[in-house]
Amino acid sequence: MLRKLENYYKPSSLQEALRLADENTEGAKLIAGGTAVMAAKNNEVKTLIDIKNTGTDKIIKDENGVRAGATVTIASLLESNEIKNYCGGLIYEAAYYIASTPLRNMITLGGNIIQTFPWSDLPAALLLCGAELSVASKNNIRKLSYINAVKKHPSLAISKNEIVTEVLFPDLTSYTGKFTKFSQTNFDYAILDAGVIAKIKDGAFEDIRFAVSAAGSLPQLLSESAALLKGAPADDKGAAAKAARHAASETIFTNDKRVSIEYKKEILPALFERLIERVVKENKGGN
Amino acid sequence: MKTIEIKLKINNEDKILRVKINERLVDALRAAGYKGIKKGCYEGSCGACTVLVNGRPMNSCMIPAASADGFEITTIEGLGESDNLHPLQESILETGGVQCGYCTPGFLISSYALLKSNPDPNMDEIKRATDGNLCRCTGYVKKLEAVERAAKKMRGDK
Ligand SMILES: Cc1cc2nc3c(=O)[nH]c(=O)nc-3n(C[C@H](O)[C@H](O)[C@H](O)COP(=O)(O)OP(=O)(O)OC[C@H]3O[C@@H](n4cnc5c(N)ncnc54)[C@H](O)[C@@H]3O)c2cc1C
Ligand code: FES
Ligand code: FES
Repeated sequence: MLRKLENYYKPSSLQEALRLADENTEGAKLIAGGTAVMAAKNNEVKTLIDIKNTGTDKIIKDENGVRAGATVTIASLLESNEIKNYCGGLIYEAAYYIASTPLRNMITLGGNIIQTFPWSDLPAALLLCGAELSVASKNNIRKLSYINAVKKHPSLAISKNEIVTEVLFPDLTSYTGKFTKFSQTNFDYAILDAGVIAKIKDGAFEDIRFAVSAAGSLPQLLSESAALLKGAPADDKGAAAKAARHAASETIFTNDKRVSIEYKKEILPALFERLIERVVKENKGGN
Repeated sequence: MKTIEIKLKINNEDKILRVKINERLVDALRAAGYKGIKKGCYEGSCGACTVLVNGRPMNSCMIPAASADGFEITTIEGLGESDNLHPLQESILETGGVQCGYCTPGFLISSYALLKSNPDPNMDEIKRATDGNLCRCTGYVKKLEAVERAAKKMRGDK
């Protein structure tokens, strides 16, 4: 409940939203899908700036990759052919099990990124593809790599007068990516999220990346584990199993009241092994 | 608490509501007489408060009423009357998919949205479309069957 709320603005252009954000830095908050803002018991917020009508809700493909506006909803991501076809369905698969149908109609890409929770599903996929955020303020627009944004927490990487306007999923035409969410039910928060992207050339892994979330407080790229597979034949199941096992020791786990760390360590290698298998299979022309 | 006026369409009727600046849409709609909408968890988890916003199901407990200016809302009251039930309402009674009934309006709104865009859904599609509507009584089977049954009726299948 926002007990101290005094103003609700719904600007109809990005410029207007940026001006309002610039003028109202004390006690003001942006609201997009609203699913985190409305759930919080926040007695500090005096002004809400609703950015849903700012025209940042398009998905387009250009020579740099796929660009999605920050107010694109999870439902719209899932309806987009550009997203379905991007990197073997990496972003599509990460978005598929986010929350529920009504919530997917509300949650926005930008809100999911800025309000990263330990179990949020998109962040690990954003790390894997090297996503880049466009961050606008009244007089400036800057690029922020997602990897840098998530070093502390994305909400700490932008200022109060800034708005994330767009996410670039860089062109990864020669890569295949797969993502999985491990949870008790589809609608439940992830117990573990894992993703793999790989470029396979002449039957061997030319490049491969692993990422995990819901293990610690922020998503993690597992570069040591992925390095174990670089150059290995794509059909070397022993090498895949070894890299997947290493992922459990490379990952930093924090306590989760639902399940023990030991349990997560048992599960994680199996998730990675299955993901590698799917990536390799799709690369051979299967599914 | 400051109040503001919002103009919106509810079940195809133009309405003007005076709402508190920090009010949630579920409370504003219930205060305006749309009591079919239920309030369960108040945090987006149960789906009891589901309404259609511009044709899409959403949790009205997570929507600020102040943002709803210009919205087109459909509530359970917009589906059918007690003497002229919508096929979904009829079917859920026929299959026995209602026990306490608290989840029913939200469940039917989600199902209604599905059938508008997909008149012949399979069971996986029905489950996915209603995945945000929790039911603590029925075990879901009869509710899901009701959606299949209503879809058939609406298509005119035997
Ligand atoms: C019951 C429930 C279950 C959920 N399950 C999942 C799940 O399984 N997986 C998952 O990933 N998520 C899940 N979510 C969603 C997640 O918890 C957040 O609520 C959601 O990602 C926030 O997005 P939003 O668009 O609603 O943001 P809002 O609530 O509008 O905003 C969140 C924060 O981001 C800021 N912000 C928003 N947009 C911008 C922008 N463009 N630029 C700068 N700052 C911005 C806001 O100021 C605010 O601080 C769930 C939510 C609920 C309520
Ligand atoms: S009351 Fe809105 S989802 Fe439970
Ligand atoms: S019938 Fe009681 S909660 Fe569904």
